[in-house]
Amino acid sequence: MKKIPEKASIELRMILAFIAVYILMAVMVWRLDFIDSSDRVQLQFLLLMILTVLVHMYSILHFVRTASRDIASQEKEEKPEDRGVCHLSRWSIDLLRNNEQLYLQDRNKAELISFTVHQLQTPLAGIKWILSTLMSDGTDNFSDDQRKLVQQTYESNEWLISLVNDLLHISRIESGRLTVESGSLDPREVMNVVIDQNRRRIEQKELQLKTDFPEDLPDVHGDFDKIKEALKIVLSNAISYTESGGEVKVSLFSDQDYVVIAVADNGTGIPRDERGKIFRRYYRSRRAKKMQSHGTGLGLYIAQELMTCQDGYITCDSREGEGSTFYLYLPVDNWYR
Amino acid sequence: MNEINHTEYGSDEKRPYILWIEDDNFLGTLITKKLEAEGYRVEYVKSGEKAWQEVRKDKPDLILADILLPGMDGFEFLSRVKEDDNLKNIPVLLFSNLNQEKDVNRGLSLGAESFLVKSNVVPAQIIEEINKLINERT
Repeated sequence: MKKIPEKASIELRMILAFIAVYILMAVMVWRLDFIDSSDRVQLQFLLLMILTVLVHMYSILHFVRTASRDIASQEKEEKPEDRGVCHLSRWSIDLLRNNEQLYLQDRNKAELISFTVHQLQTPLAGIKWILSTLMSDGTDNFSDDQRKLVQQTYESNEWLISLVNDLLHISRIESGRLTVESGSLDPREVMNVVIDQNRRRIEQKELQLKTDFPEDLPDVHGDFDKIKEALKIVLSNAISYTESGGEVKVSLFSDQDYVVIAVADNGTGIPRDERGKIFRRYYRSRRAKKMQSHGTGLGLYIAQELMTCQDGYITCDSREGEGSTFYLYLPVDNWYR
Repeated sequence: MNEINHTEYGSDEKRPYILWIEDDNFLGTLITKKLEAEGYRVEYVKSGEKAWQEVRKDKPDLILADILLPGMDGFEFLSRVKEDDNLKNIPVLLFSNLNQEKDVNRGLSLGAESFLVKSNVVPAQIIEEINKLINERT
């Protein structure tokens, strides 16, 4: 004989028990003499109703319990390899979601920096103009100390302007929005623009500026803005870290497939153990900190990024206490033809 | 430094007239005072639309225009001026915080005489550039 499954036998037993109870009660009701025959029919109908309700209640409870057991047993019966695949797909979905969120957060950060920088530029330019006007027109009635204060405020504001520009560069580099528009160009044009922008500082610090731009060098392939910014950072450092009366030399020469812009100074120099670190973000050498307390340590990192994004590179040669030379290597234009 | 040739300009009306467009009140007022002290007649407006009205009402000798403006920006204003036969010979000096080479090139290709980056210059350099452009025209 085929064995009845356990689940079905419980169900059957319960229903049979209900029917037995019903028959027993029906017989008892039938045998009670003090009840009228019409009332007996009504009572038996009532018992039948109670039995039906009990069977329905039991069926619902049984269905719920069986369904929950089935889900649990399905999970138990899942093969380990299926579980692995399931988890992998869940992880990849989670990773995609996280990646999207990080991308959006990064874009928001870059937009915030860009917006802040643009909002800061106008008031900083205003402060620069006011202080410059004050220094050129209105310091006749000022004492020497007051004049010095105005000059110091002007210099601090200049530092803020360069900091804001650095932030803009970092934001572009780190968000991957550094667009390169390379083409053929004469490096001397870039050098003249940068030197003109720094001439005032060079004169104020009474530095000697020497230039050596040979006529017969080939054009380079690069992005005018990026070369200008990188050169501006290097030249600005040379001015900052050279004592008053020192010398800064900007020269140009050819080296195999590259044209090299060299910026040399006889300033403070970089200690040997720090030379490998100066292109790291936020790094400032001991001697630089000693000579100029403020500074972000972002300049050379930005210069390096600006050079590498256009197939160029930057190196440094330095002797502590004797000066430094920074070399900006730019590929000659013939490479790209 | 270039200086404006005052002897050529007697009455107020004969002073060189500069239309100056800048949405920042602080910078706008500062440069207006500087230019007036230098002997120029200055109309200072804060939007490209207002500048377009002014430029057709009274033809300036030079236009000094910011680029980032509410509504019509400096580039669009410059394009309109250069497309108008009656106005295209007015020198336009663009003035902005935008300092990318592509912005400078765009301005120059649209016909601007010069492009100055606000945070790179001081008022004395702005006046010098304006004096140079005005003197070239007279």
